[in-house]
Amino acid sequence: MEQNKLWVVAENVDEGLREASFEVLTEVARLASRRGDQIMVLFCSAPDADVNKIGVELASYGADALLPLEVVPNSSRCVGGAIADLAKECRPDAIFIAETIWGHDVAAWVAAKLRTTLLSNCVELGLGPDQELTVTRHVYSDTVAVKYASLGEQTMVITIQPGLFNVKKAFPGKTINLLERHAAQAQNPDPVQVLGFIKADPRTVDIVDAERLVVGGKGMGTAENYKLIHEVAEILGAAVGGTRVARDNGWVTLDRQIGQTGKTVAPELLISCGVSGAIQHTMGLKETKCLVAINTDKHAPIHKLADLSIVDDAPRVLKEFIAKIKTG
Amino acid sequence: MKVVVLIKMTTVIRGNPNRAENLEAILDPGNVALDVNSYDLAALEEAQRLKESIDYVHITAVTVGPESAVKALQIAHGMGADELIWVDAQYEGGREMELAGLLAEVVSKQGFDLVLCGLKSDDVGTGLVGIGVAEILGIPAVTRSVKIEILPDGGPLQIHRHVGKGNREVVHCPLPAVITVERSRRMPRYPGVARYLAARKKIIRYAVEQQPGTQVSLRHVETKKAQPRPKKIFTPDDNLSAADRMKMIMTGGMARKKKKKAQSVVSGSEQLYNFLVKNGFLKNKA
Repeated sequence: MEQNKLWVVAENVDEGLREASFEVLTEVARLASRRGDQIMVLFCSAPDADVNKIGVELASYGADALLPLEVVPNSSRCVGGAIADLAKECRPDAIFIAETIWGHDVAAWVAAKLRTTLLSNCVELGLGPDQELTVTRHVYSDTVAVKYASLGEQTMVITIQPGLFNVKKAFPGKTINLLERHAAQAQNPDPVQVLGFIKADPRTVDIVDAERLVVGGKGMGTAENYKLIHEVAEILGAAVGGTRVARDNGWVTLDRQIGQTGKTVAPELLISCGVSGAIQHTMGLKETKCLVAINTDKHAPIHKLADLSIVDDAPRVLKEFIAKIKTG
Repeated sequence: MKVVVLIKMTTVIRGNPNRAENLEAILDPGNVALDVNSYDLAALEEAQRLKESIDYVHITAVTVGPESAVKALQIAHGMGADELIWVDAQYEGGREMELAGLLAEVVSKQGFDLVLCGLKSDDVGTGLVGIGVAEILGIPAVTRSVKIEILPDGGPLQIHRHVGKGNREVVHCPLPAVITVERSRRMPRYPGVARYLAARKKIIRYAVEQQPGTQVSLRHVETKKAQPRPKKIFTPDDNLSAADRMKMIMTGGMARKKKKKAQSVVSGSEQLYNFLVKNGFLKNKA
């Protein structure tokens, strides 16, 4: 373990490892190949997980060693403690984690236990003139970038913003050194008990967090017609949003307005009804994965962004759609 | 119940650094404004709500910083804090754990059941100090809380934490504990003017002999304007012709999506239904 100078902590999700962890690994592998360092990936595995399969996959991204961790109980505090104990022993140059909710908590516990600083939400990794590690992070609401270089005395704890780096299998056919499962029993069991999980209710969720959205604009015409938007949202389990016009007419509240004077959303599905697609609105929905536009004007800019354009009257389409669902 | 709220003043830049010719002038301490950290205001609001929900809650607000940090305490008093402690010391970036050590010393001297603080700060936003205090005091910590409830009969606290996408996790945490607070729909109340003005007389000042501190193992290289976020690099589709690939590269991959043309035969609602079923957003009933 001692020769592994860069550690990457991977995060589990139901189907395997989180995409953001692969982004971090790809970026760290790029640095490591320039510096000639070895990368060790740590991840919290379930006892029945197929470690070999995960290992082969991680190797193709550039990992040199894989250490499955088995921490009881599996809270961010105990995981952080186990990683910090290992880091005190092996003294890696840096520990990288993707800045997710779990990732930030674990990184903070590791940094707190190592009594070092935490470089959170980094946007750039690089090497200095003497091959020392440099990291850049944004401060003051992402307006100023500050770059730091490692002096190489302490282990750096770094979290990296997800969604910035490409995922690339740059090392096909590379072999991985599968290390023995490391079991850690926390001495002081974490007294924080997790009782349950409350899924967000689409009717009350903040539209920034919503996975599906139905948005109405001026083309909806009246508040009466706007109720159709709510009905469709109910059918799809989506949240309701609106344009500036919809908000000015009192059809939606300010916290549901999308665009320059409202919020920026990133849903999987967005159905845009009676929205022309002025830039002041569309700048708030650039991150949308799948956009359906319903507008009578076939030259409306919203159709240029849409995956499905329907040139038709939005209230009528929605009415028919609801009728179709209700009749089965 | 003794609640200690950790608050701080954050630096707010005037103007847009991306348009500034001279970044140093903008970042000059004489030119920046100061404001109370919005996450800490959320923590103060949570403390107030606890005070309203049970009989005896004593709120102490603690801040660390130069003379200008006193304003945070005035606002805390305006919002309803009972006791104000100003630790006259300054910690630059990279020494969060020393700051956490100092705060741990102050709060344990003060006596506490619960420590509340913001999830992170608006300016530097490392998000380490809350967990650092918990680690040094050896007490449990819960992060990203949006709702704190006290269970009857002296039971543990019931906390809703924000776990992304609007979902919440419900946890039980025994006291004493550190809880970091996420900004939520619960808007921080406006500080009352009379209490705001009366605050200066109530502030207790701790002067701290600043220790030289351990060497931070970081070297500051440069401060520059933030580049627009480096988005994932675009690579064109191999199946396209050379001309199309060139076009896509020149437009940065922003080429118009291939649309499914509206077919006049199928009605709009039919198209919408078929599209949603095909993409797995809706189950086909037929």
